[in-house]
Amino acid sequence: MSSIKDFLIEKKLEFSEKENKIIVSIPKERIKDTIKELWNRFNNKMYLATITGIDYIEQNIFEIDYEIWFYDYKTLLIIKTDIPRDQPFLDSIIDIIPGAIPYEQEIYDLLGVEFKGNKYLRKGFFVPSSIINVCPLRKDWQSDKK
Amino acid sequence: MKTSIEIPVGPQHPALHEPLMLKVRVDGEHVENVQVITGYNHRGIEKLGESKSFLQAMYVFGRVCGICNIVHQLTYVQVLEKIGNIEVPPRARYLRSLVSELERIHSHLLVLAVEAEIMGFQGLFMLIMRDREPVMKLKEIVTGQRVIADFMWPGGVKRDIDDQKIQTIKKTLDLLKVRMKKYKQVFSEDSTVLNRLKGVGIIKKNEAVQYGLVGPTARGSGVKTDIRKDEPYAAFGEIPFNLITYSEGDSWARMLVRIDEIFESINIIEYLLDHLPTGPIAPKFIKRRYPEGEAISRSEAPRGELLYHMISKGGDKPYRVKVRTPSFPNILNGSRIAFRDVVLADVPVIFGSFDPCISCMERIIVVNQNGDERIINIRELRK
Repeated sequence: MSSIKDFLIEKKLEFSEKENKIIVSIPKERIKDTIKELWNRFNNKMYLATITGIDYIEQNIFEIDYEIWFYDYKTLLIIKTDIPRDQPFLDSIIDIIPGAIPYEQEIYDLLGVEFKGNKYLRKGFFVPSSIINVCPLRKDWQSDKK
Repeated sequence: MKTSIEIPVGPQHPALHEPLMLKVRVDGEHVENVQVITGYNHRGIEKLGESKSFLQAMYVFGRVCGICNIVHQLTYVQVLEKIGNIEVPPRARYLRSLVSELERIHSHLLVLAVEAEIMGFQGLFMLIMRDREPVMKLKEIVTGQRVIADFMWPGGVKRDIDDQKIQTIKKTLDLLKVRMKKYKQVFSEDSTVLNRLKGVGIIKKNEAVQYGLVGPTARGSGVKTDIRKDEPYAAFGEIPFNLITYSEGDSWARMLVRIDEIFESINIIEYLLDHLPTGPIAPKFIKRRYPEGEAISRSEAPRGELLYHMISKGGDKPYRVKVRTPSFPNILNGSRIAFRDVVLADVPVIFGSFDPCISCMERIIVVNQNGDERIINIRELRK
């Protein structure tokens, strides 16, 4: 765990710890570079467990959480970033971690956040064609069926 | 002249769940690429969970998967326990591990049987399915239900077991152990099995890491990952057991991981039953409202790491529940890397070795370059 903390201190990032989890918030512009440096340093020692997208409609932001597991250190690193709801764009990390492809596809399809550089994004990846132009996981979307 | 045709495999099959389609582009028999088409049966469970109360959502998430419903509900209640700061009594933790391992055994037996059928080894399929049924019966004896168990409470479990049930479980597993030795011999020595599985669909260790594969699919490529060891939950931190890995990375290794894991699961259950603590199995009052908070819980489902990420804003409903099932990376990412240098007949075998939660193996639409389509049966294709 200390190697991961050293990395975060080196990058001048503030983090918090809870059990075996390290939580760090990073501005959206730095996400790709940070994950790239992390991946290069801990190559084959970490994998991307998932990417979670959350709609905080009251704050007018989407929060995107990258959840990365380190095999040797038994630590889960959660990298959080915020993007404005009216500009839902973020750099894709699939050229660094190819395993991110379906997670970015899922968030694009269900939450409507576009990952720049991911050519595999498409609407209808999960949702049926009848609701292809909506983002069901956004809080302002409600199903017609009561 | 080089011609290639596209063969969509799937998407509907009533026997397996999570329908999905593989578009296989072939040149003659040689597979050029495989494209995964999703979206046939997305039920919007994450959205549905947001509209239910915490306790109602427990039943919704217990129905994400029919095969591994125990571990889904367990991971969900573990998230609630983290947010609500709820202690689980020792006996309940042991019972949770017990049913989780029963589920792992019957799930692994199912995929062994399905893989045998895909290989064309009908006899082995029937024998394994015969031996799976008593394990389903054990699940019914412990939880009250053969399939969807609804066994969990936040803070405990719903039913206890007595000495008679313990003896029944031990007796059944003793017989299964004998049978499993035979099946391991078949999977290790039989020429039908070896010819179909050995060296087919190889995933290297570094690829399994890059593509974030989990569970037996990753362990078959030598990746040492098992949430029961990495981040022990329920009673797994107190139980001695071995982490099974194989280095070959082929379909055979993925099946052998599962066979060896069944032996481990049987040993785990025997240990659990011999060391079952006494005491309560659930709190006196089941909490219905939870404070504001965020929690992540992970557990080792039969197919690999299952992850729940919940955000609560207080009150009686979750604000957001993210579910990352193990088949998600295994199918979508595994399909990108496993189908290299294979022929069309290997596609179902490789796919079966992922233990996919999907239904795609029966109907096949052959599309030639002129766009003509015809539906054929996969058994015809095997011939």
